[in-house]
Amino acid sequence: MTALRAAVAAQVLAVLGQRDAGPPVVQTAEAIARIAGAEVRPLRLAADLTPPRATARVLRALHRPRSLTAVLAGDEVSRPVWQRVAQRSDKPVVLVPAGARNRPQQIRRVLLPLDGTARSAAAVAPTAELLARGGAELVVLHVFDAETVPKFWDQPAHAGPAWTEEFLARYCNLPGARMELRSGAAAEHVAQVAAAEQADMIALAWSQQLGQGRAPVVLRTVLEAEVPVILVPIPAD
Amino acid sequence: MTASELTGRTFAAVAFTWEACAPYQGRLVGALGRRAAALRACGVDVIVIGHGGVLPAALRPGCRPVRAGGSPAAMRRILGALAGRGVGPGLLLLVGSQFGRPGGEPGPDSLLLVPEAARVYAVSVGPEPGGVPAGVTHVAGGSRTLLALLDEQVRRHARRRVPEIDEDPAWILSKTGTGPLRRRVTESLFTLGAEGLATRGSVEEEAPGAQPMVLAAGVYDGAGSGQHLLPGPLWAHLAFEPPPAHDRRVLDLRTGVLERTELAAGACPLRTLRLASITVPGVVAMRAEAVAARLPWPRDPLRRPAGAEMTAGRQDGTYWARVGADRGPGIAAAAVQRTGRDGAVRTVQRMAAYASGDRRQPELRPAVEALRAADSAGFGRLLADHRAAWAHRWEAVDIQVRGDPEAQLAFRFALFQLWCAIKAHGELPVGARGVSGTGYSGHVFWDADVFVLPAVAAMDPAAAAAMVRYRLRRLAPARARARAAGLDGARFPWESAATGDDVTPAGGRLGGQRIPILTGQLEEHITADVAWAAVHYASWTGLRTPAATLLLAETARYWASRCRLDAGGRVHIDDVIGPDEYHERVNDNAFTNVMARWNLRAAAAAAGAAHGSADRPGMAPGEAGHWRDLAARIVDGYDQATGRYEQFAGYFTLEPLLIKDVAAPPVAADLLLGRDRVSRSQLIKQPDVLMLHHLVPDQVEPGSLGPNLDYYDPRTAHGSSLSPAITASLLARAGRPDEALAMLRIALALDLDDLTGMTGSGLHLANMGGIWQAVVAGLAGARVQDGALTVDPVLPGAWDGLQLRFRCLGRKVRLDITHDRTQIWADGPLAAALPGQAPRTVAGSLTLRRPE
Repeated sequence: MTALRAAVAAQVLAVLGQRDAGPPVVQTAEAIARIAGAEVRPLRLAADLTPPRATARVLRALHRPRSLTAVLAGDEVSRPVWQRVAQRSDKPVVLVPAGARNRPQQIRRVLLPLDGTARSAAAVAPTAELLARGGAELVVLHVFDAETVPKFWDQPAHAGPAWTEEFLARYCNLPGARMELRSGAAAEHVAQVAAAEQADMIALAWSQQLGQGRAPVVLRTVLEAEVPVILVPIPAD
Repeated sequence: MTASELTGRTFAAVAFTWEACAPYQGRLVGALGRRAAALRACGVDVIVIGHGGVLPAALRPGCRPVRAGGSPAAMRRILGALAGRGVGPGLLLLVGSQFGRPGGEPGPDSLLLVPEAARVYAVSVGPEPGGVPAGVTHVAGGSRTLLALLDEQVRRHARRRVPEIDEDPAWILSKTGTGPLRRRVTESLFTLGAEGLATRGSVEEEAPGAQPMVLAAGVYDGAGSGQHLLPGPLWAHLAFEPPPAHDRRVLDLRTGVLERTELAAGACPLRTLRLASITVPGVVAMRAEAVAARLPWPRDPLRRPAGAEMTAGRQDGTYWARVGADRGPGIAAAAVQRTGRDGAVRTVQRMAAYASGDRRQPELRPAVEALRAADSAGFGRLLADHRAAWAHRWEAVDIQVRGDPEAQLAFRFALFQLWCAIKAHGELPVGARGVSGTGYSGHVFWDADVFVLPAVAAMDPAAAAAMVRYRLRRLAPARARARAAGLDGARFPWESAATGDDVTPAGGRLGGQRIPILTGQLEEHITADVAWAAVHYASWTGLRTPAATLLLAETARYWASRCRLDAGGRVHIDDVIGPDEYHERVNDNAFTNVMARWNLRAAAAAAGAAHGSADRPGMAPGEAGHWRDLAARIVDGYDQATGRYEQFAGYFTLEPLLIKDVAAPPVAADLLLGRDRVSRSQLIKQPDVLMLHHLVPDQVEPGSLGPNLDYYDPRTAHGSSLSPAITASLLARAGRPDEALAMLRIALALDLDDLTGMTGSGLHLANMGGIWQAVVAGLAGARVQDGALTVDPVLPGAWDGLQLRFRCLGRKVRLDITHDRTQIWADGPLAAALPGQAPRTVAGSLTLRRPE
């Protein structure tokens, strides 16, 4: 399972640590459970658990068929745990950044950054579909950089709509989805656009690689975002 | 295969040897004749090979005789005659009885198996004790099997089975799979059209993201910049249960049909075939077949298109539907469908006829009458005529490359889709995406005048005339626009739709940045481009268009009033946008100024030529002289020392950025670097100065192509889809054919490989016109000057030869170009020359060699 899937009595794990991350994590888990038609299951980690053991506990709980996702504090202190969980989970993991201003009662709008590859679009599609079915508005973000900039852009008044319509048709063909485009480095834009669009959540597909220079978008977004970030693993080839 | 399914295919032609009838020739003649007549009625050619004398009377109505039976020449004659009717070898069923001999030697019928017949479906009905050669199917039984084979064809045609296509790799474009990533791209690529009406190549069933659509040239809905092409009633939908999981779709460019076959589906795959008739304009037709359980009884054949209201009904067995307001533009359709069975297979045959009105709802009656005529003649006849008409087109217009099959197919695709977008009657507005999709809302840009029209003039002069008429009939709003700005003459809009008023949107998005769109206000060169197109049409075709003289005069008046005279007596044009849209609000854009200069001079010359005739536009005394005087004073930024034109005043002082230092072209540099950075640099979107060398080479300094190409090409991002093809043409003219081919390959792949990411919203018609120009004007160096066709060919090293067929100066012309000679053939007297040589009259063919 690489994505959120609604199921009978599905559960959203609210991972509670020793620090005071409880309320935002629980509120986020409740909002996700509401949109997914699931229930919240608290998972309290003992204070004396080492990060590897805490990770193993979360992954064990996530591995249950009923578990849709796990919501964890995404702050710096909890980093040893959330990084391990996010890298090893085959299910989406939701991080609640330390600076999360928004502890959504309801997820009304989700920012969905897509890099224009079929793999990432396919990975995030079930999650996006579930969120859209639950009533969330999807705002797809694509950032043009040296690798992804189109070869041609004839007349901006016409090319913009044509390009975005085609992009959505290919990578996010869900009712009501709309698109935002930016130029530059994607890492610089995701959190900013999420704030500008007043998104309640960011959904990012990622390859679960955190080596040197990898996943700059994920790392910077988790650092800067003011809303929960759901990381959806892209299955290995 | 069952006894009744000997071949399992539906052929367009059947040829059998007279010996295959033995030993019952006499007794079977009547039976053969009846079957042949039945097949002829379905549009199937039936050929008897090797009958020595006059065919028996019973055979004469249905069969054509070919004598010299068993010889390769006979087979080649048959294939040649069929090719003339658009029937390729893969559509021929060949029945013989002596392909092999007891000793294993080839039999007399094997002489028919010439290399060109490789795709022929050959069957031997003889005893063949020594076996048959590879590729021949042996079904013993003699003349009774021959009858059974004919029976199978009669049955398959009568029961509306889906016909075959000839899978000649030089002519087919195929796509396998139903993946969503390219679904809409394929829909655009597989558009079929005729006489200004086109139907996108969507699959029949509903599919996520699919955009089935029928569009008609010039039929717009909405107002102002929101005007867009009105979608007509849909006609090609069917429900399949379940839909094919894996399929292959083939567009046959030679015959203008789109075929679909389900893959890995066992003995009875789902198949469909459709066409947009070019012999009965407005009529579209399809057949479908599948196991009955998978092809439910179809409901109404006409369906409401997305984004439009539709009224519909049924009368006397004919379905009808209308889209569009009661008192506004509209598209109406009438349709009939027939379902049937052939054993376990259900077949559906559907025909629809469309009528459109660009100002008011069309009458339905002509569509109904066209439909009834087509339905009465039958699908087979419609298809046979359609194939023959396409063959006639390709016989007159084609690009054939020796040594580059990939480019060959891409050239034919471009020609095919240009044909699908044009019509020869009334007026023809060619939108940026033609009628293949909603992109650019169907608005008409300079793409039509400068990029598409030169190709159309060489393909179908009547359609080019219709394009000129579209502009001529909008002279009044062009005059009104000039008048509103306090200027004289006529100013044509940058974006045009139904009325001829400017419909350019006021704003757009460059990536995430909202920007004002200034082209509608400032990209004024369109006015000279429109005049250029009218003159090019007249020059290339040799057909006079008196109204074009008026158009030239009115556009010249506009420039005369638009110019600014400085204290030194030099003439300027301020505050414009040239073809390079990275730089806005510039003064003395070389392209705009030189095109205005050309416009003034051409108008003065035309007025002089029309002196004393009724065609002469009302001229003020001295007006032509004034135009000539202004033209002589217009600054053009040319620097004698460097041989370069400055693109606009101050361009040379901008940041000297080269595109190789930014990204590999083609690239939308404005998206990558941002609009402000690009506008402060020397990066340009597309040829600007160099468009002059392409359009009006006589108006630029001799020898200036090389220096300007050397300077501007490294600064060109080619971020406009208009850019690669014209650059290829320029490179060819500069004597760099290998570089031209490399650039041309980008243009050829632009839609086929979806390089823009936007082919799903429609095909880039200007690029296709540009491709034609790159080959004809660029590589062949074909121009018309003073009523003579001049050619100045260069060939890429990778090509062994190039053959071009086109229309010019009222003739069908063929150029055969190799690396050392050029042969011109014309179907009547034609003045032709190499550059710098006196024209000679071609009567038949003429070989031109460059002087050593």
